[in-house]
Amino acid sequence: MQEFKNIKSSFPIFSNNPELVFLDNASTSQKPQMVIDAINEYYTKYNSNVGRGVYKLAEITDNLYQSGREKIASFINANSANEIVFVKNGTEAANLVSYSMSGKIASGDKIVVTELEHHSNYLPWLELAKRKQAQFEVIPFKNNQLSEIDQIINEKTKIVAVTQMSNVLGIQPQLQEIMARARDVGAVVILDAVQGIAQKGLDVKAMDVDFAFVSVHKMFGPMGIGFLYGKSELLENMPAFMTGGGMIKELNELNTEWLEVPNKFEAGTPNPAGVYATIKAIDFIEEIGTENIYKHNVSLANALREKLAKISQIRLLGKADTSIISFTIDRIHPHDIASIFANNEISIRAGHHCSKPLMNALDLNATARISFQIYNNEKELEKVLESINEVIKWTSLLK
Amino acid sequence: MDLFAEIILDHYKNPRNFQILEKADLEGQDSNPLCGDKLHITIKVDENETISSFGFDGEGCAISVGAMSILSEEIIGKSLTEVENFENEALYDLIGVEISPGRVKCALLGLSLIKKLIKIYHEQKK
Ligand SMILES: Cc1ncc(COP(=O)(O)O)c(C=O)c1O
Repeated sequence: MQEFKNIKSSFPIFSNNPELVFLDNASTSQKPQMVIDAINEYYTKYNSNVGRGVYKLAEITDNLYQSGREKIASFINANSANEIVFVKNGTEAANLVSYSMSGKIASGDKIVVTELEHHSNYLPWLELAKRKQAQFEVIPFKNNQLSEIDQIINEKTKIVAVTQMSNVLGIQPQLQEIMARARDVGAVVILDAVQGIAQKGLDVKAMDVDFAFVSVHKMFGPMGIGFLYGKSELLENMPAFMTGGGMIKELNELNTEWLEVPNKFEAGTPNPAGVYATIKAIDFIEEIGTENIYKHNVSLANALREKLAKISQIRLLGKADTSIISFTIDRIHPHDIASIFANNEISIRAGHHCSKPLMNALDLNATARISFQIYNNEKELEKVLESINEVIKWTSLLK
Repeated sequence: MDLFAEIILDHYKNPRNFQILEKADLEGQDSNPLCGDKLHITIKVDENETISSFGFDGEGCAISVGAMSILSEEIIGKSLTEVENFENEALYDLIGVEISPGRVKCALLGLSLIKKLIKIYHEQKK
């Protein structure tokens, strides 16, 4: 962990909040100075709208916007920049695909998701199934892995939605198995790469997924920008999701013709400052390397997990060798655990983490969650343990 | 915010009126989507709409369960109209600890549900 010793100083949030121990990284990551500067730079030097002007600033903005697409395409190993659609977040991307694919789903077809999904890769598919009277089935999560994949994904299945990494447990489900079965039955696979990308990278060619989506705010970038990857032939054969300015070629009273992919899916003024900052966020990640980020986070999580495992009142969920620890403590609600941590300036998350299906599977209403990122360090683990001890002391008063 | 505050701790440990009443006049459930707290409330009133008994159960954090328990002792014997006008601040005073903004929903889970049930009760009587 030596090499990241000074990395904290790249994140101004920590100089402004010197006592802050930020362990809610699965919710959003902090932003390095270079990302924050990019937003400032964009608005102070280049600001103009995208795809609408012939003057110099408009040209610069167009180039920045396009180079963002290219940067992402190369980062995730897409075939072309045209396979990248900008959205405001991963949730929007999942909704985009679920609405634009409506025409391909008929009653009797089947849509499959997994019990590990965040609501944003679950509800759009449930709603699509309801709109089309399609079957909807959830692949169960048992003993820390998905089960019954081959039975549940069958010939009727048209769509399979799966996460690269659970935001509750950090577990990466068996994507290869799902891909193999989906290819057998001809189903389209949409991957939620929101948690995975900054730590495990994303190689859409190697994974062979049909769609993947990302929220940039969890990969050191700003909020309000995300992207959808889709295979060209799929994007080209889908109708637009939202309509309006910036996505139309022809409009004669009732007749419309959309622009080519990806512009067809980007109605309205986009977020070029966010795109520029995304380029910088990817630069930041590439400089460190996703493998190194993941290794760092997992080693902290494993060290803490080992300590927590020794405390009898703590129930650890999931498994080791992940970067996220979800746990409960006897006789105390996770929300109260988080409040005690908050009193000590440690940010952790408590709740269902927008993952009700998984909570039901675990037979819990809520967990406390600690999630690591590159700026966390071993010294912070000591503070976590102090707070844990305080929680335990509290629960002993409840006996 | 002091979770260790004596009152909260006491009520969390031994919630008062922690049972569901049979044949309640007002009854309903609510949950806090943020943390998954669940609350089930039952209320009986006499002919003057005075609360004669109150019972709840559910699952929740110290603040939501503690606040509900503290409030339950306060409102038995009060009229529905009085309870409808019960201010949030009055509840915070009873709890006796400062409620951080992130925990306001927990503290108010019970009171909000009671007010909702009273509104429904009055509408149905019309
Ligand atoms: C696994 C996963 N998918 C999707 C999302 C949704 O991201 P956003 O709220 O940025 O759309 C999240 C965010 O918590 C997540 O953790």
